[in-house]
Amino acid sequence: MGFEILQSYNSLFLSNWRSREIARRLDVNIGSLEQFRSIFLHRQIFDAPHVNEFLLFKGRIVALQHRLATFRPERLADVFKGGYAETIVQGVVWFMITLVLLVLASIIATIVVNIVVR
Amino acid sequence: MTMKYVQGLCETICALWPNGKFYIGTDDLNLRDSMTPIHFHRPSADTSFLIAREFDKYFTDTGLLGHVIASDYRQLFRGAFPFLMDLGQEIPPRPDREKDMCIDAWYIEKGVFRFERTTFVREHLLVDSNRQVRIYVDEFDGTKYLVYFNHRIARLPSPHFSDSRALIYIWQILGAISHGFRDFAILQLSLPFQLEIP
Repeated sequence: MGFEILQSYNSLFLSNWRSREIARRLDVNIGSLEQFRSIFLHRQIFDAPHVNEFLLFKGRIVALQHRLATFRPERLADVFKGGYAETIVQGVVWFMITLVLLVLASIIATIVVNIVVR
Repeated sequence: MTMKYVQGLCETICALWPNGKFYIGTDDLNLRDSMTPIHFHRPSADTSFLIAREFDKYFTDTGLLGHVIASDYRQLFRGAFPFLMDLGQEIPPRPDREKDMCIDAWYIEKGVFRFERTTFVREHLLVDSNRQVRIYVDEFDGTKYLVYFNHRIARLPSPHFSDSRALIYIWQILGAISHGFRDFAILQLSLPFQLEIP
């Protein structure tokens, strides 16, 4: 149990300095993890986290990954914050919204310019 | 537990939850000892739906699950515990998008989820209704020594003995004698920060 908790700290907080900042905020002792660097660090830095290495917390990590992958905006602020795994459909929707806004802006600008010039 | 007892047990369950009928096909079982009528045990009745409908006078209503011939204990209890049928099914493979999803803390906090510390182990890595991922943080300083689970921790009498392998061997021999030659390693506490371990 304790070993897997340390492993989960490793997967969550040891990848970059921003994650270390989060660990510091949570009072997770990163130094004790780095002391055992050879044991704990990812085998391949750019590889995906090894969920299969977990025994007790595997289900929770899988559930968390599922939650991240299938996240959809629930509140208005979530729309602008963006999801984790953006699908191509969302990109297309935003592209269309941008196009419509540009067309509307150009129409309004044309009307305003015509009124001002006249 | 004999098969006859199992069959009686199953028939009892079947009477309590009459979703179907079933029997266990075994050689050493006398079917006449069964409480169910004998023609229920004739497998030829199930080969043709028409024949079964014409000649099967009893149990015309097969129930929700239909007639069951049990070849497995999970099928045996299917009528009573339908959720057990899920155990035999293969788990669908996870999509790659989920499998490769990064669980880096900064990446997670870049979106809507936030990390929150908890002192309960049972809440570790769970997401609550406020979209906060609970992280178990303990104040116990000994957690970091869990990596030495299979080690015998001992301190050398003096730092300048740290290079002598003979002393390590003596420790290993003594440890093997006292612990019955089990597989373990001895941690050599020679570096300055290791000597500070209380």
